[in-house]
Amino acid sequence: MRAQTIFEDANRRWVVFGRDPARNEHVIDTNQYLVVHDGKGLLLDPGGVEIFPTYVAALTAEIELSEVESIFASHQDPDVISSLSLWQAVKPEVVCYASWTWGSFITHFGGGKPPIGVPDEGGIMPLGTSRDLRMIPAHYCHSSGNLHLWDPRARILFSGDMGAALIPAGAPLFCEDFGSHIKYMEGFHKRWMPSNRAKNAWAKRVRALDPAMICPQHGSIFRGADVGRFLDWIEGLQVGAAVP
Amino acid sequence: MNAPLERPSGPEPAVDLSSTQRMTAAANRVREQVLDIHRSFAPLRKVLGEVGLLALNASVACARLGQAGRTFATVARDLHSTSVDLSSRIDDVEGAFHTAARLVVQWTLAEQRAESFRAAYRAMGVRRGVGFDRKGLPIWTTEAGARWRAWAVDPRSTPTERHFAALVLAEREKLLVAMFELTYLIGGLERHVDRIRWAAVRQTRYLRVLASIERAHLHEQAGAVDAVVAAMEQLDQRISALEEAARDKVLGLTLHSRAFERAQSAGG
Repeated sequence: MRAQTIFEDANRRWVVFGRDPARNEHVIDTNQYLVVHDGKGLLLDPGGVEIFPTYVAALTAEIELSEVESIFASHQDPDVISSLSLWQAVKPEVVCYASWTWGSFITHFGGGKPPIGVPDEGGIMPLGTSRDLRMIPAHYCHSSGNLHLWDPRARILFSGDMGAALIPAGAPLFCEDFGSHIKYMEGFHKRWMPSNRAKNAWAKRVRALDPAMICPQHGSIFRGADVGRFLDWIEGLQVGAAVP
Repeated sequence: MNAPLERPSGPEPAVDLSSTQRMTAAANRVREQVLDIHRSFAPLRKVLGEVGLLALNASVACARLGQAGRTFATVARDLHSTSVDLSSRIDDVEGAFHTAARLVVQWTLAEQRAESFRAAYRAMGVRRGVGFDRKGLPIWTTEAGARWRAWAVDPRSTPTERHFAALVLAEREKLLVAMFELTYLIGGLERHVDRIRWAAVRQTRYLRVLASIERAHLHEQAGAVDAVVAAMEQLDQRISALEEAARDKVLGLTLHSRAFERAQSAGG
């Protein structure tokens, strides 16, 4: 599994893990993110049981597991958080944050300890001594209880399945040609996003944040001008395709 | 923002799954045996239902025969009470098999979790250049029969690797507890199956006695009520069928139980 630092300053670092060449072909490729602040770690959507061993191996090259404080689950899907019980076994004191709607559902993945239920309006994500990371609402994008993570310092938005793309093997980590990238994400957004009203409200909120990067859980990261291109594209897209 | 910093990833871990595959196959065999035994309860219960009806018919016939039916009545009561006893023993065995099914699931889950931690341990070792042999053991583990217990304290591993070795151990302990409980349970099941076998034998004996009494009685009382004659003829036919069915079911249950034990032993 590849690891690449996408932001680094004196105190904070963002690392993305993914593009695993040894991945089981039946398992959707996922991006796992690590946010480090003054040596303390936060895992964003750490993924499923299937990728746990290779992710742990890659992660321990970046941070000691003893320094991992918490886990953020954007929503309840298995490719997002089904490894939770394994993480809780590795480090019983690790704290998981997820929408309040999914607490007792995520517990079905095992481990016994439910996540901390984040209210609909979101909240502060503590990490070490920092209090600037924000969990922001993204409900119905696509899950009914969905949260994204905003880092105002790095100006990075972790966007879960929003901006996700089902890319071919060998696709670049950063989106390089937005026009040709659309075909990898159009079908996904039309089907997985259920509400035009919800995704337009999300796009408006994100535009106001003015992110430098939008980091989805699948596919390529948008940065620079591609952030605006993606927001324009998603606003113009009709979603909820399964209902004629 | 700083420029992206690419970190080369190490070689991907080569994980030997043969041990896991063996354990999973053993757990699957045990699960199949549990399901087979569970499936055999439905026909056994059907046979028991028929026996209950026969006992009821016998009681009715006994009442009609008056004084001559006294012996008949005693046998019919015994037949009924063994039916109830057999039914309750089957309830016990069925309950035990629900527990067995739960233990097999615990076994499988513990094995899966152990495999996740094992794979993570190996992947971390590979990442920092530790070699692994064809069996997936670290190359420094030359001692025959080396186990995770030794690796969990091996100074050549990093603290994180030792932590993962300990996690593998913890899951293996859960697995062993589930297997131990299964072994204990199977011992109890053997006794239950034996009791069911003897209760079924007793039933068929009662039924034989019942039939012979009825045949003798009907021979003497040629003018007995037509309905009683019909009931007894039917009884005679069904006794043979019932004997055969009961023998098959009990034999099947015994075979399943033996196969279950063999599968469990193979898993251990």
